[in-house]
Amino acid sequence: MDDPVPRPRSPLADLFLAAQSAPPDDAAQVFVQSVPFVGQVAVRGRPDDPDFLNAVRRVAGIDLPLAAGVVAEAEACRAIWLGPDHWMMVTVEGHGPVLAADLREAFAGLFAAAIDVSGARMRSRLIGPAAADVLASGCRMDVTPANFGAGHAIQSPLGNVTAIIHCLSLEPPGDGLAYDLYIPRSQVLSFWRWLEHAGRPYRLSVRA
Amino acid sequence: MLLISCPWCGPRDETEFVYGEAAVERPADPASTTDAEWTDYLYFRDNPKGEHKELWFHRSGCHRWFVLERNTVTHAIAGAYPPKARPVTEDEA
Amino acid sequence: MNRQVWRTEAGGSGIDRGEPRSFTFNQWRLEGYAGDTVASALMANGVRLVGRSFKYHRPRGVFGIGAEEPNALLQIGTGARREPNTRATVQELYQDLLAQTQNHWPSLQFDLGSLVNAAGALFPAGFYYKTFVTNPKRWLWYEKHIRRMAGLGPPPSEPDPDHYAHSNAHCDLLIAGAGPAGLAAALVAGNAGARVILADENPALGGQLLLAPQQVDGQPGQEWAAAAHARLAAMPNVRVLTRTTVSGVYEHGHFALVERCTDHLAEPAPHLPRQRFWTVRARDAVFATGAIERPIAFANNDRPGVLLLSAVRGYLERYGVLAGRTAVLFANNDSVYNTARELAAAGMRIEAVVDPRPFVSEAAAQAKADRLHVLSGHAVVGARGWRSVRAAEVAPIDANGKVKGVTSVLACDLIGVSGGWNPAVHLHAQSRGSLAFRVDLAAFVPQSAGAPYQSAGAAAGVYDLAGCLQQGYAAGAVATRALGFEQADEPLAPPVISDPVGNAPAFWGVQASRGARCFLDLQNDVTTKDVSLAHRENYVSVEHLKRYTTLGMGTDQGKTSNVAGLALMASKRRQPLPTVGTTTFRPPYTPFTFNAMAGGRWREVGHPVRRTAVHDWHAANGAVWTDAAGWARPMYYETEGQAPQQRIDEEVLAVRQTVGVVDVSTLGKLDIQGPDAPEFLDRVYVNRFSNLKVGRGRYGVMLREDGRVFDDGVTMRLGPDHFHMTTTTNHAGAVFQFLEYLLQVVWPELRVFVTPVTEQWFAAALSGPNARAMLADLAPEVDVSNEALPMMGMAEGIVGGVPARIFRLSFSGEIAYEINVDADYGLSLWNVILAAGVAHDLKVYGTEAMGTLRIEKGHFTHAEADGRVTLGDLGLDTMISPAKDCIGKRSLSLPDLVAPGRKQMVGLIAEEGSHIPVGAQLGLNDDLETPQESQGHVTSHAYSATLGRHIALALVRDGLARHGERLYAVSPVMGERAAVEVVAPCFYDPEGGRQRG
Repeated sequence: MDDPVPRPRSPLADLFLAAQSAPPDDAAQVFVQSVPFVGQVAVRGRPDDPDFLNAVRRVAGIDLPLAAGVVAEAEACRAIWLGPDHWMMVTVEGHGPVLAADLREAFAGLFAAAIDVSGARMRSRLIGPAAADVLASGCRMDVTPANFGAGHAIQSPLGNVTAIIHCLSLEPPGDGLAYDLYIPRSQVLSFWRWLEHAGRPYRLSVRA
Repeated sequence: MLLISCPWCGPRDETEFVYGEAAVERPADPASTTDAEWTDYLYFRDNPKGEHKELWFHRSGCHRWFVLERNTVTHAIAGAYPPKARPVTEDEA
Repeated sequence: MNRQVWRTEAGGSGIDRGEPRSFTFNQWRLEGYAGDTVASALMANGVRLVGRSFKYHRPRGVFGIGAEEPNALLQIGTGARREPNTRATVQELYQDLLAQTQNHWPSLQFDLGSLVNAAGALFPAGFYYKTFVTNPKRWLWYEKHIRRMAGLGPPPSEPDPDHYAHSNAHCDLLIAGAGPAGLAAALVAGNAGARVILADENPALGGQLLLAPQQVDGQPGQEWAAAAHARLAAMPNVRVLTRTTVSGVYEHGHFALVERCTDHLAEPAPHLPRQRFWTVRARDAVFATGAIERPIAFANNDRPGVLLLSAVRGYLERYGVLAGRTAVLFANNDSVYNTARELAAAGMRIEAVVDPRPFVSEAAAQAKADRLHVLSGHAVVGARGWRSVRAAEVAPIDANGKVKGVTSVLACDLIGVSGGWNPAVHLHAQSRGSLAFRVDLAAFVPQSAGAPYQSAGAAAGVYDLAGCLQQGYAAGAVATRALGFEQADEPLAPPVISDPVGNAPAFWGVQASRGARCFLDLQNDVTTKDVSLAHRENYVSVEHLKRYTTLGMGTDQGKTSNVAGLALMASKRRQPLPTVGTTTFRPPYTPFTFNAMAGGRWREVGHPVRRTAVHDWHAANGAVWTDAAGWARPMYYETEGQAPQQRIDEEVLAVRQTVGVVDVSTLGKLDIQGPDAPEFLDRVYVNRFSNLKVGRGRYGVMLREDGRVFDDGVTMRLGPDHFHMTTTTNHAGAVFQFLEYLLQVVWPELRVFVTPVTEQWFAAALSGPNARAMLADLAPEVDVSNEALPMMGMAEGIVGGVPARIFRLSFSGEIAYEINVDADYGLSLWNVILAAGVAHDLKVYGTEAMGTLRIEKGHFTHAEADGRVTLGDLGLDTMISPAKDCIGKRSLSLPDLVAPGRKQMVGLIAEEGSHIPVGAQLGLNDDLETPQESQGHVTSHAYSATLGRHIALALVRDGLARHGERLYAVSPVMGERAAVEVVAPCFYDPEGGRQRG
């Protein structure tokens, strides 16, 4: 038996593949981008425990955000506030288990946890002038840029799923806002069906 | 649709939450309760017309339980605070 | 050739005469202009008859000019896009629009149903109640006839091909209605910097400014409105929504709006939604929804050609359409005099202005001086004509409204009626604002004290233009200041030229002569007599009146009729109108299609399907699906030419004889860690977990507080204070929520984190005699020997190149391993397993085979633990640790849980060749006819290929003591029965040697 090289697979792989050969829609006001796999680590700990916060700082070079809806950025990772004792750290593909192990080691003796959940959510990115409108068609939160700007993230129902929505500035600055959507893996195809529906008035287009 | 202020996340739509039940205290030592006391805890709830303290769970958000003081007639919300926490008074809010 | 013979030579601020639009009405091809509504275009073509009434099939014409229209309900479009009950007064005209009348047979002109009109006495108010209360069987005969005769348009039978959108919006101030008051409020709030949403149901802003010639600030009203619209549209903080109805008011500033995006377009771009349902959260709101003119009841006041006076005026002003050639105008207020002048100037002959007021107002005196034929102290008492008005019967009346002289007949083809106005208080009332009755207006107005939102303009009972503007500015300023915006300057209202208003004293109708019908509710064919009848029969409360007579029901919900009906009831009860009260105002303000509400949330868009990492493989290999808590799970794998049971048997036998693999990713998984995690699990599960060795697992059961079984599963100890809990697929969410409840509310002192990780893991269970050998091939670096990896042991290692957790546990009763990997690599692992399986006769199995295997082993699922069952009922009370407390334990000694006669789990085995009916009850005999006391019921059943017999699990009264007894599984519903033997629940390898081996 050949020992195949294991490859990760996204439920959206076929959709993005098909989109590559589709002609671009010049009138599209919103695009969804395929984003490569990312490392994701669930970090648990008490926000009033300085040893815990220091341990995260030591390992990841990041100050965990302590306020709801805030995202902290470091060179190789970011931390999204999910709850008063719950963060999601996002890192590069394949690095999730490593980061989780490093954090676990640093958490020795503390009441804290780091769990690799890199496969639990799929990320896709929404860009374009109507991106916020598409979000507003499925999210009860006020996601207009004035209220929900770059550096903020919420976990909230979006269309037919519960999503983590992270707003970030595109590079170079001034290129507008982008929204990273983290969708539970098992529901990502159903979410996609909703996204196609919600994006239709804005001619949602797939950008591979 | 109610607008509920999660003590951690701020105002969110009712659809993000699930109603748990009335905010009643679980007996600290169930074994020492009489059958009547225990079944009272299990099954009997007030059904007030007016102010009601209840537990809600922020299922689609931060996964926290909290106490909501809601008027069952008007839906006016007098407060939302963590379980076993002292209600925040208006001056402090 | 222009056939629009009722169109004036010039004028009509809302139409574009350079843009003709042809359309089809029934079999006729007609022409109108861009900017027309279907109603105005029909009237321009002289079309009078636009429908038949609901009950009596009387001919009906256009009555109003907007959302209040009770009569002109048409079907628009064809096929799947046919929309019934569309108000012609709201539907905008587009090229090739298709409009059809409804509720007539065989044709609009000749409707056999109108024979009901002659037989009207057969259909009094309360007809259904009276006819069917004594003999309900009559309904069976009557129903199909009534359903054909009474009713509005039929819905299309095909699925709706259109696209509907949802939007959520947030604002500081929502303003409903963009007439003068709404525009004024929006300008103030917008200028102050508040986020404003201004919504109006019409295509253009301006409200009444568009429907009568008036001047604001030296400009014609519609130009002032257009300029205000332009200013608002230029403000980034203001969103103007036209063609949008504020439909519902809910708690905490939640409003529902419906926007008609493309209903006015001949060929909308395919990407555009037809309608958009807006959910708005507003910190505050102003209702500037205007007022609705009300008719006056007189005999045959439903004839085509009887219109609301403001509609007659509006059709001329907005659309350049004359509603008739010769008019009698009948109004209890001064708006009629300017209207008469405008109509006369446009070429209409004004036969008379009939003013029932017992005095001559200043405006009336001026009109007389201008040689208008004014009949003060008179009333129109009847209309003549059938398909169109031919004359008005006019008589002098006394101060009480009683006819006191000779009736004269005035030939005319139009009767314009105004009985005053009712403020559109719907949104105010929906918001739980109360109403006050103002005698001078004879109308209910919003009670402002204590109301959650302000009403402004005509909606608040202010009918003069200057007052509307002033109140709009004031409402905008009050709201904006209350919202914390500093510079909310309230401008002075600009100078206006408008109608004198004068009071509209109560005048609801005239006494009908015998046999004639005076209609209150045109849409539901409710007459003054029906209200009188309801009163005689003691249906005197307004809510009873509504249900008994259908007054105020239907698509218009009595917008023009309600108050008059209530006034009549009040006079019958000899009580003041406010005492009688109003019916409850409920959303929606106007009807809208269900699809707008659904917004595309049907099928998978509405009900997301959860898919495992190898879903596509299952689908490609014949999976027949079942739903498990939202997950799509394969029941079995179909092959052409094989019966489902044959497939399931093969899958079962593979597990018993070689090896099978099943996708078990759907089980709930919780990561539980923290110094108090062992203690926490001891308190949650009935059995102990604190003494579990690291690297080992244990099957646990948790109870609800009331002692019933809640959930079960295997929990592995990954480290001293780290556990991996599995829950059932169904209860994954509920268990997580309950554990968080315990940690946050009940025992906040425990230091434990519970993190859901179901989505992280793909899991495949290998089970069967060959499973160990196969795992050895898959994971050559892992010691899979019984010593190194015993039952309830675990190992970590590389499987198929992927880091995996291997749990040894068994649901099937065979040697079994559950291999867990990061779900991203699930398909990769699955393919490796299948490739390795070739050498071991591996077969993939689904939930049916899994169910059969567990029934053979006597394992319960939620079919047995149905929320009423205790561990004792399942024969498992030895699991309960006596040395510690746990959730639900206190309840186990409650009298009901220890009483004899509880249903307990047993196995059932059928005689060879017979099967156990689905949903069977268990009885002492197999008599299907005679009721007998149930001994219990079948909870799960299967054909066991292993045993060659049909077997089942069942809950049987005192079942634990009844092994060996013969019972009968009977299903009176299916007409089936089978003799069964009660046995211990485990049918296969009760000692468990196979799974431990």
